[in-house]
Parts: sequence; C-alpha cells; structure tokens
Amino acid sequence: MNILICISLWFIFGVQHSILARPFFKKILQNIFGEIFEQHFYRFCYFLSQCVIFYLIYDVISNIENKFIIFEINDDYKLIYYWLSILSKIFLIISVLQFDISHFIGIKQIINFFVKKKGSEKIVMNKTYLYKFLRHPMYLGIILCYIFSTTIITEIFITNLICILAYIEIGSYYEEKVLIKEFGNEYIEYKKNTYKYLPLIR
Amino acid sequence: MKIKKIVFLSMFFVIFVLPHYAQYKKFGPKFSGDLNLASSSRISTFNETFNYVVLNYSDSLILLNNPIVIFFVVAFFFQKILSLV
Repeated sequence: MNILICISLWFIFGVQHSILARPFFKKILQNIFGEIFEQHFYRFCYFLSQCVIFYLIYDVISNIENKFIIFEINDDYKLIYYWLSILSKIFLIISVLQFDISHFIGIKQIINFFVKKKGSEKIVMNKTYLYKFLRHPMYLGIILCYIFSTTIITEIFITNLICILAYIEIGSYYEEKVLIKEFGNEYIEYKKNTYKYLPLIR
Repeated sequence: MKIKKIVFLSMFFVIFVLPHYAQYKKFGPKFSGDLNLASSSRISTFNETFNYVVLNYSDSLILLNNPIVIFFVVAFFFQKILSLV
C-alpha cells in the first residue's frame, strides 16, 4: 500500500508538471488570457506553482511509513557518504548556475514586459562547461543529491529513486523533442556528441 | 576574469561552504533523509495521505519556508552579482 501511495503521488506530480509545460496547454492559456500573459507571466506562475506542489508532495512522501530497511550504510563509511552528498550538492549548484536562472524562473520574461521587449527573443544553446559532456547535468545533480541524502535504504527510498528516474527519462524525452523543434540540426548534432545525464547513456 | 573567479569563490564559500561546515562541526555528518525517517508522523493509507495534504496545504503556500524557492532566489542573486562583476 505504501509503495502504491508513493507511486501515485509521483504520478500526480509528473502528470500536472508535464501538462502545464506542454505547448498545447500554453496555446489554451494564450486563447484564454492572451499572448502577453503566456509570454511574460506564465513562466513565473508555473515556477511558483511547481515549487509549492513539489514541496507539498515531497513532504507527504517523506512522511510515508517505511515498512522495512533494505540496508544501512555502515558507520565507518558514513563520513565518505557525507562528503559524497556535499559533492553532489556542489555539482547540482554548478549545473544550475550554468543556465540563465532569471529565464528559468520567469523573472526575465516579466522584466521584458516592463521594458517593452518582445517575449520570444532568440535563445542561444548552452554548450559550455558541464553541457559540453552532458545535456541534462541538473538531472544528474538531482539524482546524486537524492541518492546521498540518506544512509538508511528502505523500500520507499528505492520506489522514490525509480519514480525520479522514470520521470526524468519521460521529461527529458519530451524536453528534447521541443529543443529539436527549436534548434533543429544544431541540437541533433549536439545530441550525437553528448551523454544524456549518465555517462554511457546517449 | 580573475576578479569574477574570486567573487564566485568567496560567495560560494559564504553561502554554501560556511553553513555546511558550521553544521558539520556542531552535529557531525547529518543526512536529511535520515532525519525524515526519524520524524513521528507516518502515513500508511490513502485516507491519511489526503488528510495530511489538507492539513499541510496552507503551510506549503508560504514561499519563504519553501527550500526550492529559497534555492532559486539565492542562485538568481548569485548569478546577477556575478554578471555585474
């Protein structure tokens, strides 16, 4: 039952997160609230709503009863595990700092509205530093942070990990479809020369 | 470029390294997942899940308590300061 609750919560999060980001949904919004809202304000609303929903759902998942412990990291290795958790956090921070955060959280689009810039300005593909090797370094950072967040491995931890991996796989598939539409051959070439988020997986 | 690197490293030290180091010195290696496991509230049915969501929904709306919002706001200012250097 507990595993089912966990999967259901990830499913609810994944479905709403994906639908709200899809072009067809943005088209619907454009028809209802107008082009200006969709271009300049939607991204910020989307970011805030996802922060709230993710925080709530993750809080519920953290409170699901763990029935059994699969294994526990030995005390002798806890310190190594701790430093690995710090390294994974550093990796996540660096991967986030590599993209335009103001665009990601929607602030840039709002500023563009007030300085009367067109919302759909040309976006340049990021192929520097971590992006030279991985197309989604932030996803790898999230996976690593999650893996090293606990030393007690339970059935809920494993279920969460599988759900995170499944969601990242599905999410990145659709994300890349949109990116190919936007950047065309440049992205297809980039895809050939880089790994998705784990080494050896293209 | 050199100034940018110095600003980056010093901000990174103050925002990330220092709080972690202080926490490590005080409590030793702590893991957020282990702390969650130790918390008393436990959900094991769909009904309890629904009740938990209803009870905690309003709390999750407080953005100042939301670690994801805080993370991105800090990262936003971090990037803005770096772009000014």
